[in-house]
Formats: sequence, structure tokens, C-alpha cells
Amino acid sequence: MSRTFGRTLIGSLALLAALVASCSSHSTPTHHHASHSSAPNSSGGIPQNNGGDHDGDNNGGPSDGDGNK
Amino acid sequence: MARLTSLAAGLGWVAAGVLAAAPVAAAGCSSSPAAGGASIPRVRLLAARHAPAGWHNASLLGGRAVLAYPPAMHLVEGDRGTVSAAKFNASGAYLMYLNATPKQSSETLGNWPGFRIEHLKKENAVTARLIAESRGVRFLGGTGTCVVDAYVTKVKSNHYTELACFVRGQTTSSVIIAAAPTARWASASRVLMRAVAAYQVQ
Repeated sequence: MSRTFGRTLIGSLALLAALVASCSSHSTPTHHHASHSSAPNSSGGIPQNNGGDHDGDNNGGPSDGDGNK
Repeated sequence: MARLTSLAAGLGWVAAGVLAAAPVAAAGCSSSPAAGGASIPRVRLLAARHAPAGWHNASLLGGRAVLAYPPAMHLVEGDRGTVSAAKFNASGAYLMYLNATPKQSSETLGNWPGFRIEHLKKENAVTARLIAESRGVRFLGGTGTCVVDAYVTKVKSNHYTELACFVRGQTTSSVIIAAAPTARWASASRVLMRAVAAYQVQ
């Protein structure tokens, strides 16, 4: 196998793995609270990962209708 | 491709398969907004009417707004002064979600579509795109502006589609949210839209 083809194959596999990983949580959103620390929110919104008001929507759940207060 | 023919056939097919699958996978999880300049379609809403028999009611705003939810859903914890109901699968994954929240900020009937999308991006979502919107929507006791949008959460990268309406009554204004995982929106939206049609305000 040529070196060029080997590199192409490895790169393609890595790209596909990354794409699959980015889609892997598409159908399994859960309401369990995350246990890790809050993600920073530079835009001034409510911090995620159990930060701020500890809402489910700050832990990957659906967003509620709050006005950011 | 000429190079492939000179290599072992098995490896060639693996490489070809990988290269072909990559754009398919990318398209499958695409969440980019539609091309700019396209007009936003209207939300297909059900006419306002009271909830079917057997549904439950939950009040907010001292009884000045009422969220109706089907028996398959149950009340869940949310912000103080708000009402939320949800249905989960055995693994704890959201299947359907309803929320009613009093007006809290500068949202209005006029700015609601932009307000909602910006709020999602600011607070919960890495991406959010407007799918449809309708103004002058009749509710039981009020008028609303509604949007259907899709977003991906910052935490866990969950994909949701929602119907979100800002509703103004005679004395109060509030927001009703009806959401489901995007992959389940087609099947969940019927009952969620029925809940939105039964939302009452004063």
C-alpha cells in the first residue's frame, strides 16, 4: 500500500469517526443533572452544567420560556 | 481513483466507502440555517380550544394562565413561578416537554421570533435556527406570536425542536414552550400542538 493512500485512508477514518461522534447524542437527551462543573458563558447567559438556576435546560434538557432572568 | 485500482481491492473498497460515507454523515447532522433571503413559512397551528377530557391543568400567574397537559406527561421541576410537564422514556430521555413561564424580560409580540432565537443561543444552544413563525395567533383569552425552531444544546449536544409562543392576555403576558427531541418531533408535535391550542390566559 502506498504511503499516500495509507494517509488518505487514516485521515478519512478519523474524519468519519469525528462526524459520527458529533451526531451520537441526537436521539438520547436525558434529564439527569450533570455532575461536572459549570461551563463558562461569556455571553452573560445562565451558566450551563448545573450552573446558575440549576434548570434542566442548563443540563442538556429542553429550554424553558424564561427571559434570561 | 486511478491510484485505488493499483491497490488491493479490499482496501480500495474500504477507502471508497469511508470517503462516500463522510458527506452523508455530515449532512445527517447538519443544523445550519437555511439560505438567507428565504421567507419564513407560517406555523401550522391548531385552532384554540379547551383540552380534551382527561387532560390535567396546571396554573401559573395566580391562576391567570393555565397549561393543559396530557395524562402521559407529569409535572416536573422548573424555575420558581413557572409550570413544566414532561414525558421521559425508561432511560430518562425527554420525549415531550411543556413549559409555561410568565414574561420575564423584554419579549413582546413584535420581537418574539428574534428574541427567542437569540435567547436560545445566549443561554442554552450552540446553534438555533428559525423554521417557521406566525403572528396574531389566537389563544384562549389572548393573542400570540409563535415560532417553530430547532436547536442543539450546549450541554450534551442534544437536538430539540420546539414550538414557542409569546402570549399576551388582557392582564398578563407569558410564554408557552412545547418541545421534543428533533428525531421525535414528527410524532410528538401533534399532542404538543394540542396542548398549545389549549393554553389559556387572562
